[in-house]
Amino acid sequence: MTPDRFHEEVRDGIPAFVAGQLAEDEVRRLEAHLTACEDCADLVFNLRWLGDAIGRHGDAMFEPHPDPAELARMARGKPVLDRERLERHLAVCAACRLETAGWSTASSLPGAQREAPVPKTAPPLARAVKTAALPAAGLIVGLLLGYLAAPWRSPWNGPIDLPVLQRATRGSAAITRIHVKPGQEALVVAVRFDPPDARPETEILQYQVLSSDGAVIYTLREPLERLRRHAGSSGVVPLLIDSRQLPPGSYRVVLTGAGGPQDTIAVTWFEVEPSPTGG
Amino acid sequence: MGEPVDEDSGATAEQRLISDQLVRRALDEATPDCRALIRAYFLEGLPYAELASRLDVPVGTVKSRLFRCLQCLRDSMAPATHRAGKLTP
Repeated sequence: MTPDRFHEEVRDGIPAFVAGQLAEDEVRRLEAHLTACEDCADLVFNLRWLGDAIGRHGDAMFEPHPDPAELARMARGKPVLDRERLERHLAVCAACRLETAGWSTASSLPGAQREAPVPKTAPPLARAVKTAALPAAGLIVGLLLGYLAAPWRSPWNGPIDLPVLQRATRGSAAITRIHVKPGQEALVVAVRFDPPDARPETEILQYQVLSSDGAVIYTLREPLERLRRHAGSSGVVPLLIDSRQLPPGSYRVVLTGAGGPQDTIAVTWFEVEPSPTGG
Repeated sequence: MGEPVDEDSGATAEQRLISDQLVRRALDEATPDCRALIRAYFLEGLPYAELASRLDVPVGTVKSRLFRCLQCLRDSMAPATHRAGKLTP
């Protein structure tokens, strides 16, 4: 058998390997191949969560995002069409969980019109904020508290801050400084979002968090319309980052349009500092 | 405070939460055809022969399509996972 043919034959087993369905002798054969084939090893490394995530969450990994009005009703304790499906979706979608928690928090704040009718269209948070007359930062804190207190959330250990990044250049006084606590594995940062003019709503915009040496730490790609929806009330977009990829140092958050790096819309900086508790 | 660890995978709840978000987002970005193929293979557990019959294409075509779909998922997830060796369950 030629090396190319052998490669293809072993490569064909990768889906079954990721799905955990490969026979033991085939697993050994594939693992031996992975030590010599960088391309296949890279594929398996990046897909190692796929089979497990689909196995645990099933169709929730594939179903479309629910109607925002349904999320709002659920957050307010109102009857919903399919509560079980909503809960399944919320278990795997951080954006919808934040949105739901925002509804819950906003409707429980002093001055909120708890019994106001739930709007039939997105963005629900915009209505809630106007009703409660909250400043954006206050809402974001509320969002996080609501998120952490939400009964349907997965266990999330330890307190997590939600820094709202200020517009800043490297080294400026306005730069946001963040302490990552020992053992903290996730960091949610909120980035201010000013919708760019003269762009189609379907254009895919991209947020990237880059280290000072240019390495990409995090990427979020969403259509402009969806970013507008998330930022509609508070003016910020939440980014969920694996904080273990953020050693102390300077980081850039770059928003680009469909034109790539030459089409930069906004840049801001933040710094990660060693935890004052010694972590 | 100790973290609860999944006895099967060794992953903490936070690790699972982050990996689930990454997978969900990558599937969101996949084409409808890829999502359907990945769903049929990974969720329904259909073998290649049955997928080929359903799509009315040769088995080899199913294999190559599925492989290309997985490569696309890899490309979506790679920026976040490449530097996340510690996330390995």
